[in-house]
Amino acid sequence: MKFTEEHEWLRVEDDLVVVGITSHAAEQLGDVVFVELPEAGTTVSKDDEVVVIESVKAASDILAPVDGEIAEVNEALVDDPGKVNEDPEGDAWFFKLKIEDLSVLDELMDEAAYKKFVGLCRAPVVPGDGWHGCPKDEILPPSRPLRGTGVVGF
Amino acid sequence: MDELKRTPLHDLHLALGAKMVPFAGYDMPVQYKLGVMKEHLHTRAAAGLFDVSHMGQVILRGDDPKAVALALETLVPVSVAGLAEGRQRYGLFTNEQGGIEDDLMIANRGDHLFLVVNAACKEADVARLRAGLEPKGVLVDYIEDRALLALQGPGAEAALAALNPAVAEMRFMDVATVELAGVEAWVSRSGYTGEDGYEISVPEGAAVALAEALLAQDTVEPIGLGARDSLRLEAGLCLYGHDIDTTTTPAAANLLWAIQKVRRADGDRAGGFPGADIILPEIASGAPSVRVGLKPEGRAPMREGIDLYESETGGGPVGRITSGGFGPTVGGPVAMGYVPAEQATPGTRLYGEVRGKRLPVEVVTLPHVKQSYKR
Repeated sequence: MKFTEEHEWLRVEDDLVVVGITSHAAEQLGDVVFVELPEAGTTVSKDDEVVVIESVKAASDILAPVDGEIAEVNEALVDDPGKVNEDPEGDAWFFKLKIEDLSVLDELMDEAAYKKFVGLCRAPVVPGDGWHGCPKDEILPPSRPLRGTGVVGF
Repeated sequence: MDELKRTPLHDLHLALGAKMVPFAGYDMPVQYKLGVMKEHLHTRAAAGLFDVSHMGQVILRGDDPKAVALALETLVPVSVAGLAEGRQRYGLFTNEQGGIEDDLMIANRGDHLFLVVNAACKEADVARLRAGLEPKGVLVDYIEDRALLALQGPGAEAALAALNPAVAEMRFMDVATVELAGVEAWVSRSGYTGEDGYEISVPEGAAVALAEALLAQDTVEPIGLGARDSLRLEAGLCLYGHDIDTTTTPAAANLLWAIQKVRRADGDRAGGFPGADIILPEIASGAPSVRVGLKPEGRAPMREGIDLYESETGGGPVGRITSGGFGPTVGGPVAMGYVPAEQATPGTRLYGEVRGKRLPVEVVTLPHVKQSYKR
């Protein structure tokens, strides 16, 4: 599995690139209540906003991680957006991309690099929450926030 | 930036696994481990405990309680002198333009009035009270050593009555002094969720013990600001600075129920508050733009700031959403906002522009979820 700085995961299945969001992203977003998917057959360029995802707290976009064509979308998420919180790195994939050259994925982060990127090795906020098994020299500043447009007011 | 202030329950929030966010100058819990959705649903099904200690608590007193009430009436379009002892009512601080400076709760606690004001406005409110009331001989006591907790939901009565059965006798908007967790608590039967429940002021040193005594009960869960927002939105309650502000009049905000007859034109104590010459005539004439409930017809939430249009294409915006999001109890998006008076009839269809697309939204009667106060 590969990861982007926008908190997406990518895995190759039957020559298609399956894309979803990471558990870390799903947890940060909170309960997902709305998912808008692109149409299958759409040609997308890297960083195009292809999926809209809204949680109780905020609206965010999911970007195309690489150039390609949307081969398939996970319609089940439209009816049951809560799946994104239940199984973000499994059943709750968003779309499958057909791409020319799978080697572009080589430039993306592997799991260890992603963990380091999101700063999962930062000091625990809650006492006893542990260090997630990360070496102490990998403590990083807080991760880049999710792309979001909504802010909760109270 | 100044360091964030902490409420007396700050350590408890962290111990309970809260996600903390800055709010009105305080480091506050936006959610706990359950998450916003489950916290919201739990409050409607059982009981939720909220830390609202960031809100401002003020006592007004003087030699003659009646004179204190009449003095406060010079700042709010509310009948304070008509408020019976042991009762509370909702009020508004208005300005000379007829707008709203803050909304508040006013309780008659016998020899004094007890006010609860919004966190973000409390310094300004205290200054306003001092400037307006001290020359009239009213003592304005800004209480900074008491915490404020809210216990809300159908299980609130049983949960609080377990600590002191007397609270079960109170009805909606009653206020009383009762002993809770060994201290004197100032309790009102009210809240900001549309549910039955209580708001409880206790000395700051007793706040943790009271919170723990409530949380020890199976029905009570800690609830963060995220669910507080979705609960009050479903209940159709205004959030100051969003749904009401210095530019919205009581008529526009659909809050005329907060202005009792005695303060209206022809009332015995008509006017005499800031902006009365604008606010009172508007009760008869109506405001050009009014706050209404809005229900997006699709699944996409329509959030604060989204413009509303009369038709699917063309034309400029006619209104705007001031609060909106997903309503967990409704099971879909809910909102409120301002629309022209002629489009304020429930059933009217408008269009909210979401990510460049105009999506249908229906004007509906508030609240989105029926309130269940114990009257």
